[in-house]
Amino acid sequence: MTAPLPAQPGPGAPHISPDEFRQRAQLIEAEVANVIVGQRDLIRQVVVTLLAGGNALLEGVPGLAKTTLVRTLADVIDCSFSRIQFTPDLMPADIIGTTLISEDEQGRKSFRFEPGPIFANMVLADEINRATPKTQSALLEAMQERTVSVAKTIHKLEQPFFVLATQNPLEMEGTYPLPEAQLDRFFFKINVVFPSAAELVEIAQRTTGARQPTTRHVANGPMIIEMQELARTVPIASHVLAYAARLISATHPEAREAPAVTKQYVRYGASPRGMQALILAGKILALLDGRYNVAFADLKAAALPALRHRVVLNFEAQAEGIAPDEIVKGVLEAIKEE
Amino acid sequence: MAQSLSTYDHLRRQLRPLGLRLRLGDTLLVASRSLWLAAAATTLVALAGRLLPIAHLRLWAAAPLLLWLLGVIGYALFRPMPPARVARRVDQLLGLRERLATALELHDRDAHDLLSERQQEDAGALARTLTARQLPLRVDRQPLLWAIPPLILSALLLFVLPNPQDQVLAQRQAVQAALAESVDQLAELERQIGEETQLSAEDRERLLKELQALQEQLRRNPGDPQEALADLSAAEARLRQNLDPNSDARRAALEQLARNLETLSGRQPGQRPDVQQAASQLDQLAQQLDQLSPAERQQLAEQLAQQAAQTAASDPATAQRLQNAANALRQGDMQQAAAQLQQAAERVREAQSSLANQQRTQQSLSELQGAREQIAQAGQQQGQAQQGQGQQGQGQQGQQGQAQQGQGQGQQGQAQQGQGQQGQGQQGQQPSNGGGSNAPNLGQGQSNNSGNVDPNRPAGQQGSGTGSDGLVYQPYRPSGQQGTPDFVQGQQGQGGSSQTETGQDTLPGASNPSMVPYQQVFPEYAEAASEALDRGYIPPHLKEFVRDYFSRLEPGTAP
Repeated sequence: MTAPLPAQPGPGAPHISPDEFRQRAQLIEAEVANVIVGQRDLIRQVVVTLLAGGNALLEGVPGLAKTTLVRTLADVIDCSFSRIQFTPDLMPADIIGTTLISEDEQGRKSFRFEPGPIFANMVLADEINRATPKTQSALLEAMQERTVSVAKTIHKLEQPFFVLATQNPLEMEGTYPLPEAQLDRFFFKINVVFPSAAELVEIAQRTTGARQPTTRHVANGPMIIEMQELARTVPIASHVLAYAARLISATHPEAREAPAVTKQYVRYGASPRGMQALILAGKILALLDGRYNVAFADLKAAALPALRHRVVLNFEAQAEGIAPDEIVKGVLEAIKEE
Repeated sequence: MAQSLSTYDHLRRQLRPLGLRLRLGDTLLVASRSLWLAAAATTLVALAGRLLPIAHLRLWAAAPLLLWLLGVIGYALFRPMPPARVARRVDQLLGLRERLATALELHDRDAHDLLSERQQEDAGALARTLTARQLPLRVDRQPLLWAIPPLILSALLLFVLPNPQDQVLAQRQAVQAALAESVDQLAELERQIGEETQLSAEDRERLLKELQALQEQLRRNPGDPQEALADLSAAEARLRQNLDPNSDARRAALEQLARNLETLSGRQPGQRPDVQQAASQLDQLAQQLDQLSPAERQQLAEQLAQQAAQTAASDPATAQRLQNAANALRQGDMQQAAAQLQQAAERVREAQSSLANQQRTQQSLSELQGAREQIAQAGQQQGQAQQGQGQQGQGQQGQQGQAQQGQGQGQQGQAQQGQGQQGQGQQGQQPSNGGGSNAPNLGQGQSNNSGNVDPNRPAGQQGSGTGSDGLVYQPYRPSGQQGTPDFVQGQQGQGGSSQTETGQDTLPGASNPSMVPYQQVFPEYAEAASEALDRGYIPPHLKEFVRDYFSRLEPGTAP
């Protein structure tokens, strides 16, 4: 099934209107919600990441429909999808592809690049922390530059490109935690919470019956790109921008505006990428809310997924079991809207 | 663009009443939060007004509230509230998600992309729905409640409960009035001294400077009698340093000289000889020496010698010149005699100037004493007012008592002078020396008091007046002439010492001029009494009595 799509946008400025943006995003969320029970925040944050052109890291126990979510999302926006199951023996070439010797009809042999699963619009890096750092780093260039370099050849990835990685917070044995540099490249880190009892009932009803939930295409790749372009044009007032900057500064223990919780438990604060994520997410949230400007509330709503993986805790925090979310919440409480 | 501008203008217009409402709300909030401070300050002032005498206490107590009110009004009127701030505040208070502030900023940025224009239109549409009443007026009740107790307490202290300091303030006003009156009197005296021709420029300058300084001190005095009395005493002490203790003797001698010179010139001497003519008469006498016969010269020599003897104690230099003139006349050296008489005339002129200075100094002292009495009376009332108010009141009363003690000592000194110690006695006019515990002070002074009566004579005899022209014993001269040595044993206290003062009397035995004709003695006493009456030494209700007494003592008056 395919929903009616607006006319194809031409080059230059986005042709999609803010109202169409909101309607289309709501359609995407609604379609995904047809398959994923509950998890409204998860769906919203994944959609925001998609519309921001970023990558998301989903953290949750197995069986919470992380893979289903990504697959459904790819289906809804009518994009190519590939899934990479990260294991300790996974090699970079298994992700980005490899160069093969091929023989043509005349028997001449040549090198041919065989794209790996990274060459898709949506890539699910399942249990990314089970692969070795070498393999994990193979994703770095793709996530940041949207390109893959193989044998001195740079291969551009098709747009939109969206990596959604998952990791299991429980089974840490035999895993390779993502380094800070790689974590910073994820737009959002989204915690997948366990569904409520009512949601579990609903899940059971949907997945164990004879009729499987279906989805329809409500968007496509170019439309997503246009939505991404529109989102970047949302205006933000200078004092709101300054508030975002103060939030980021407050995650640094040496900053003047850092609250006590930051000074006590944080080793390194959020990077400028964190502020970019905060503001971009705020813009998308504003559009989704039917507004044309970023509000403090948008930044606050985006603060936790945008900053929780960018705040590096010190040993004391780890010893006391302090979660990064507590730091971010402390910062939100400490920094006043002015 | 036109749409954007109109939207912006509309937004600005909508923000104006919102800004006023915000200003009002902020002012109310600040006022409610700060009132307790002003109330507390008012209470403190009111409490201080019960411990210290504060003039216009209610005004001072109201000052913190007035300042608070002015501050609140100033805050309301002058606190900068630009539209951008108004927009941010309205966004925050009404939950407008920063729409208004963003729209204003976008207009300032001149942004014209799709979303910017949509945003401004959205903000403009939203602004049209806003009214000032939507903004809440908030008052912080807790601090407002804090202000109530101090306000009630202040009202009680200021308007209901009697303030003991009110009486003190009233007395202080009386002191200030006395001070003002004293300043006026000193100013009048200053004017008189300025017009005085007989004073030398140096003496006039010194007196005027002293009086001006004292007036300035009294003007600066806020009504503190102790300070005023201290200033007056200090000025009096400075003036007294310039007082010549022999001035009365010198005046008497000068008058006697003038009287004798009038006799020599063939005129009948009056009761008040013209002292100013004495110098010119001496000059005239010097010029007429050649015209005198030897017998007249001899007679003149005798008279000059007698005059020299009478003047020797008070003005030895003049006496010496008169004696030299007498000797020269006896030896027939007319030129030397004339020169000596001219020198004596010059000395007389100097003495006249000095006596004028002494008279003005005495007058100044009299004024100071009068001022001191006035201020002391006002201060005494103040001390009595404060008597029931604890330690402070007791202290002032004690000081007052000390002053009275000093005055009593002075009276004692006068009494001793009157008991025949030939003009020398204890210093009796410094009230600060009361108690007599300081031995050097007790034995040093020479009285400059002009005694009015002879205390050795029975009152009946004095009152009746003999009218005799015979010799009378004059143990004490109004002029304060030096007498025989006097020894006063000081009390040997801690650090004290005794001291013996030796007098300069050169007239022993029967030739002591204390035995003088009554006719000559009376004018001195009459003049001293007259001056005392003029200068206010005598209490007003006794002046008539003193005047009557001396009129009965006049020579030739029937008993």
